[in-house]
Amino acid sequence: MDRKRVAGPELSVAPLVEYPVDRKCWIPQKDHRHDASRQPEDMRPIYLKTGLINQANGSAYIELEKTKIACGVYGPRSVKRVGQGFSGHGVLNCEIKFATFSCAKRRTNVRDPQEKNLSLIISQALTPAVRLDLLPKSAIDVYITVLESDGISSCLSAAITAASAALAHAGIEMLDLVAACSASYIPTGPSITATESAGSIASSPPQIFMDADLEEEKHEQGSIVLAYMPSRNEVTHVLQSGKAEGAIISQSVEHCVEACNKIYAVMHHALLESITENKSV
Amino acid sequence: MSRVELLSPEGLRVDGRRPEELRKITSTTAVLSQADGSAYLEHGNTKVLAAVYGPREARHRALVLHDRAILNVEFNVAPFSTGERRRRTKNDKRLLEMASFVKQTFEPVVITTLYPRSQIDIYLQIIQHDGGTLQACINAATMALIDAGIAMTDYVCACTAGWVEREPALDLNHIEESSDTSEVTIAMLPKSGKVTLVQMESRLHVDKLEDVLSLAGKGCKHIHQVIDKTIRDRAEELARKMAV
Amino acid sequence: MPSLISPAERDFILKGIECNIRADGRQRPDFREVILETGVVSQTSGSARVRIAGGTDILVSVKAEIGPVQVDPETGDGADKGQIICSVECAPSASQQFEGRGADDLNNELTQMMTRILSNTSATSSSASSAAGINLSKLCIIPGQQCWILYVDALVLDYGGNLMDAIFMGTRAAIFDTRIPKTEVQDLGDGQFEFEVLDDAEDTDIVDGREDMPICITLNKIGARHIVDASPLEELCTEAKLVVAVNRSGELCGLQKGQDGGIEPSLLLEMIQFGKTIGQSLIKQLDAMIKAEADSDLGKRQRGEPIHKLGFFAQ
Repeated sequence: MDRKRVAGPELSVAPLVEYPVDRKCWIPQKDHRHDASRQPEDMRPIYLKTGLINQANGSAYIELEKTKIACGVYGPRSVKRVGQGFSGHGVLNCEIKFATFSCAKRRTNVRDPQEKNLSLIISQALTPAVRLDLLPKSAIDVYITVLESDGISSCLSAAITAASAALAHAGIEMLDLVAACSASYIPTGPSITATESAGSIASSPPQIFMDADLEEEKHEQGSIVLAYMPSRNEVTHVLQSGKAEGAIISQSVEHCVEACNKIYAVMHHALLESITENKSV
Repeated sequence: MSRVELLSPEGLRVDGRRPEELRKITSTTAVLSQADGSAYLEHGNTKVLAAVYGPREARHRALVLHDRAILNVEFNVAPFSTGERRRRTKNDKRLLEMASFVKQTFEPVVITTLYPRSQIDIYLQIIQHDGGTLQACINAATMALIDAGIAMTDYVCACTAGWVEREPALDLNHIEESSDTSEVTIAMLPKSGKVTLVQMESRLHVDKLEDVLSLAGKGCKHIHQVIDKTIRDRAEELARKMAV
Repeated sequence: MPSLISPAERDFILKGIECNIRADGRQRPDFREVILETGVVSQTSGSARVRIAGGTDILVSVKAEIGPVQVDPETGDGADKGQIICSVECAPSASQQFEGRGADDLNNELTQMMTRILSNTSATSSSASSAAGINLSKLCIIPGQQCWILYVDALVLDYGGNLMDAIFMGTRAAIFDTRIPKTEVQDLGDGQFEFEVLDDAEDTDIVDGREDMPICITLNKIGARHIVDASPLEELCTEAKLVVAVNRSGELCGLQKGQDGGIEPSLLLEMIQFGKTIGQSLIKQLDAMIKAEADSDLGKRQRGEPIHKLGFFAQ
């Protein structure tokens, strides 16, 4: 008898596949995205809900189609380690973990260097918003679990958004919510066929696709992640990789700021909803 | 497998040295801005950087000794220092062993009772490896400790010697080290002639030991002169600068 | 590396920067003097030592080794490409904070950043060169099997602020210094190949596309102003830091914000523009330095004079 697999009842059916699996290779074209219903400046629909983890002081869950992230906030608690000396400011610890099944390749349980680096980026993006000066000698822990990843850039931006919503849900004093958004620049049209003669990419500027998914990310020439506090009009983090002209960068920064304003509205809505829910209980 | 000819019929070694000849040693002190004392030493192609911090408050309370300072030695090997690139972790047993050799060598020489409840850190960084790292490290550490102004009873000079084919040879390089020759490293206090470290990991006939040791002792004396000159030159230069 | 700063010191630095004069007499957009030397470690394919007057001291080595190609199982990408693997290590000699595992976080941050800018291959699906400009296809020996792997190891020996910029300057110089042995591939038929590394020190390849390698400019926002090449104390006063990677044609190759402060979008764009201009002029200066040294070495070699590298004896 096969003990290694769960046999399941005889009359079992295969699970429903929510998304049609497309084996078709997507070729980037101008104004034509991987998801045909989206325009270049369109984001994926966001589902954001706070208060899913009862044990945590604050929590949030975000879903952008195939990107699914859960986040829990614990604290503020007193700093455990003594001997670190007195600190007038609190500390914000962020930890992001990709679930073993979240990516195409299996991730390990141990935190790898990439996760450590993303954790640092997230805490740098959130720290400007949190009033850590009001929390001396204390620490706030933010744990982020990526359940399903659909592109690293969009994952990072969704994680920042979710973490900020969770911090607000935990009732931690903040200057503003932090919304984050990603954009990819993808060479489109004739330039892709002409790449054999190197350097021709520059001839036609790449198209900026907001909130790119994994398939689009594979074709990208570069990407940018921007975290932004809308009512303070302050960028809390920017991370760009890949080659790009200055004009493309400034354009994508503008696009991202715009998109962050939209995400901000969603975050507002989710937080207000959680309050009204609490009242009705 | 044909063995490398380590000693030519004329009695010269692979790098053209005579058996009792040292490689060229050049050194300088005060190379780093953050460390309290530092030294850089090139022993042939072996390049070592030593940094000394302290005496300072001990990092871990549990380790504090109420009557003297503790010595802490850390040993680092750059990944590009050897022919093949190799990354070593901090917990590499070989490195920890080397660090403890250096620590044991300096413990009787540094007057630790002058600095109770404190800690002296010696960080050693190998930049290029061509045999004789331990001797180069000890010599560099001596210079860095002097540069940091830490009280010591004497210099510590280390030197290796071995038995190459048919006669004792001083200061083995990487080729000689790696072709199964016996090698002894000693660290000596040149004034008193006391030995604070003897380290040998390979077989050597007991009859040959005395020859090898006395040759290594001679090497130490010579290294002392070289190091002493650098230190004195440096001190003179400082004195000149202060006089202005 | 100091970890604390008194309010008085902070105020002094802040007010100084406001008046465009810094503690060491520089103005806001001024770099400290950079001392650069290549070919300092003989066991490497290429190496460079960068010293910024006032402290920072970095040794960068490039080692070319042969290894298997890494193929992305999904896209089949990378079969005809070499690799660049970066690592940064802060030696404990650089600062007392780096003792034991104290430097691990910093090492990781710097390594990841370097990897992102230099060997990011996600951007390469449509072009032959990496974001770093280096032509990875030229590093391939047998497509689908063997390639050159360039290990770029940066060792921070002394800390005096502005590590990132110094690491990238060193990396550029070390890559310029790198010589890769030529290889000869033999076709044995039915998809079998064999190759031989030619052992000729005179006839070697340079790294293709090295001119397009980016360098980094770190801008530190202190108060409402921003400065370049911050000293350790200035780094402590920094609210937000922006690392701009730029290549010689002025293309941006990476951007990262660090530290725990925010920047207004308009200032951000201004800082990017500023970093780009400074970066391009710095690349020009750096290339002139590298060229001058290479020329003098070549001259000495032709005249049969010994090339003497100062290494740490250069103060």
